[in-house]
Amino acid sequence: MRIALVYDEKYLEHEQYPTHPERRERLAYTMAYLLEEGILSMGIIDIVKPRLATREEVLRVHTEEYLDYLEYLNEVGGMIDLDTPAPRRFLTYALLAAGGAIVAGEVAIEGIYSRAFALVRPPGHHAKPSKGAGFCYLNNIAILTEHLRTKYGVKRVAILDWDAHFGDGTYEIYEDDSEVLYVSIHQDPLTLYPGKGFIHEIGRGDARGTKVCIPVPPGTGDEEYLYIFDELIAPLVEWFEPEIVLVSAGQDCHFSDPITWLGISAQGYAKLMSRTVELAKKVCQGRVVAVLEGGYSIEAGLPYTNLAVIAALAEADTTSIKEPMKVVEIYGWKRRRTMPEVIRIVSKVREVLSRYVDAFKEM
Amino acid sequence: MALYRGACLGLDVGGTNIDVALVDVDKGMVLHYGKFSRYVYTVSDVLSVDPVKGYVESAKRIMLSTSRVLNAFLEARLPSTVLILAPGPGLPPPRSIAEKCIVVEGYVDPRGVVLENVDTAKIVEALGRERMESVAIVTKFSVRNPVLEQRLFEVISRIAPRERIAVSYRVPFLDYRKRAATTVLSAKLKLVLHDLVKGVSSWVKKIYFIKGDGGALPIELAIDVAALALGSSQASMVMGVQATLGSVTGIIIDVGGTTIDVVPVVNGDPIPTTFRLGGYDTHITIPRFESVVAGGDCGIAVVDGRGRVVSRRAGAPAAFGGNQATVTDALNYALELGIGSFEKSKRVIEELAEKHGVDPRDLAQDVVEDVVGKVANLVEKVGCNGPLIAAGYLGKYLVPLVAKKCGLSYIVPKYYHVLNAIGAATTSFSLEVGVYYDSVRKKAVFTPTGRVIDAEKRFVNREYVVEMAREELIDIARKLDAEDLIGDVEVVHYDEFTVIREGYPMGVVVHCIVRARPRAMVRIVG
Repeated sequence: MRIALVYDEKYLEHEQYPTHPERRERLAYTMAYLLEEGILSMGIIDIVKPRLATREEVLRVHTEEYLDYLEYLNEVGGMIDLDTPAPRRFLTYALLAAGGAIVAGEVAIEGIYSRAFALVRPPGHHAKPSKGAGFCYLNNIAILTEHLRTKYGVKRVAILDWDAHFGDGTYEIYEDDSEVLYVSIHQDPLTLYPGKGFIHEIGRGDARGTKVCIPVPPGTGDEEYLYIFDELIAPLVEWFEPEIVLVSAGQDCHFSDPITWLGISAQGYAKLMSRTVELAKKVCQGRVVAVLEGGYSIEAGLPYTNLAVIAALAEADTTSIKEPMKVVEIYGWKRRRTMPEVIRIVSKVREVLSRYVDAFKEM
Repeated sequence: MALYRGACLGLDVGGTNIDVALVDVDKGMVLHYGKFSRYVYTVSDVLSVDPVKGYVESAKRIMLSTSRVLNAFLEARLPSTVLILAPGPGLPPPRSIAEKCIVVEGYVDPRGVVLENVDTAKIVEALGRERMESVAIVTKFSVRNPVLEQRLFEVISRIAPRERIAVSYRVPFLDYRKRAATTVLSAKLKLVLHDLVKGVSSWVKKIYFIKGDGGALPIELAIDVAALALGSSQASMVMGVQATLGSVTGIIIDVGGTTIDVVPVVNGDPIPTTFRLGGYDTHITIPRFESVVAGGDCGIAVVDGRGRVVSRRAGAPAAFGGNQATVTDALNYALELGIGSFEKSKRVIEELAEKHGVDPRDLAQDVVEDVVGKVANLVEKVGCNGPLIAAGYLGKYLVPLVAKKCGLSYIVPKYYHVLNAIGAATTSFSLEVGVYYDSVRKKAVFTPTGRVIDAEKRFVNREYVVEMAREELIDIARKLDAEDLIGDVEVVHYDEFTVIREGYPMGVVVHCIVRARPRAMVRIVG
């Protein structure tokens, strides 16, 4: 069955300011690459148009006061924080991004497509119920999650967030919610925004053990990420038995990303998504919906990582997707072998979770 | 001031006939028309006989549409192709597009920078081991920098004839898989176009081919992307309807010698469909059409005591000098049309009836009903609203019967029998031109010419680049003396990208493709 790529050229109209890292070229350049690669004419992917999220859908996640404030900023323009300007009309695009995530979820849960990727912007995982931050205004993946619960009666949702930055917005929204498993692998918060997402952050009350933070040292790459997936993520998701797996697909772990310090390659991303698809087949009939978050290496990284992730989601052959040698030569120096540290981190996370997660109790 | 367009000679080269129409494009007058049997005449012959010869000399252009390209493809009468493919990193390359695919090193990145060169010596060596009937050369992002394809073309043309080699940057669109399929087709079809104009070298500069989108392209450009001539005949038919009936919505039924084509038109335009090679999409669009082999030259037979059309051309109808009973003869006899020699039609039908012990009138009537039924099924399949539009020599007689069966109205346009030729004579120049503007690399690349110029301005807006592409298009047309044939120019692709380095905007990258839209340049009034 084909997969859906939710996309609209309107996503290119959102501009915080021309040199902002989260700029429209992120998608424009990727789309040109996808087009030339021919993946859109291979009969495995359909472009599906997004829609605007409604006020009611947004209010399931964000406060009314916050949404009113965004509507006000939408008219006059302004600033949410230094990273997150709010130029006039920004809210239209934020609603279209949230609506894109919703459409991706709808077509997957209704079985119209086996899986879906929402190639949207602005991103969302730093947006909290009453505050935007880190280039994000509305929390796209949380709005999608609440839509699936409200409209389709989905009870248990697993969110895998592999953006280089901890998704503090999504964490905060679901901190007390035991029906949402939130697992984030991110660069050590001592070295990167937002400075949160430490191992001990595991949720509150009954939800303890359903929020999992896996901070990794700078330089961590494919081998370590896949180790983490196999040793932590897969058993967690199997234990949780979700009805759908959502991915906050940040592509800023790529070794060429200008604002992070990690070492994943396009091949690494392909393998991560392939493993996610296999895992979803085991636990939830293969239902996976990915929503684009960060990723700022416009020329050297995004074309290859986006292709890798989308192709893997479509179960296409990804073995020859790689960055050109010149890109590898330039950026390869970011990569560091961090496996010993990562093994220790994984062990620590399992230990912290062992009180709450059956799969880790034997330790 | 309106430019002089003068008289244009339109030719439609079908399987059975060569239709000719000379049109005064300024006045919208058909000056002359005629039909020549392909059993007797070649294109070269037609252009050399009186009175056409006189018109050829005075005509400003000779516009050629043909079903031969599509037929050659459908009948699999094409040379095999070696595809030289430099896909760079990405998904597995489309190796099965051609009979043989040689994947080579070499990569142009999305900015048009050559990151990896081609090893031409290695490729020539590999080609030496292959039987090369035709060669297609495709590199990723060649529409943003064709240098690798140009290099390969130069090297390969030393060991293979140029008219058997096609390169992908002649098609300005992104999607290298589609370009590969298009280029393979072009490599296979180049010789078909060459053959068509063999012997007419004295007028070669005047010759234009009608493309599958209905527009005309001078032979010089058309041969390089020969696949564009797929669907040429159906497209020129639509243009002929546009020129005679305007923006009509309906279904054209073109009764040819071999096939009967059913072509829907909406507001005068065809419904475009993507042409496919095997399982692969191409960049070629042709009019949507359905076809049945039941045209006037098809044979007839008696099956289970009833007259039936045989899905195979039997040669010239008896009414026009042939020996065997055909659909034309059945129609002639059943409807007492008196076309050609009625007596000869009568004789072959009666002979066939006697041989099978059936009534000749019933036999002929059964054949007509069989053909009408087959066409009515296609009309139902196409499912377009509006009247049926008769075209082709037998269209006038057959289409009213189909209309009656389908419960639809019908139109028999003036010149219904040479509409393709009129469409060819009256259509506009059509071409897609791309410009890839990269102000950081200080280069602008044009396709299909492959011309590279300095990108002088660091920051440009949409209007600036669109105008560059438009000027390039007009310049190409001007050099080919076809400027007067340009109609509307529209933007069909546009994307832009600001290059930021260390937080500062260094320049812009823009990819824009414009198209001279094909349309009938004139409404026929007389």
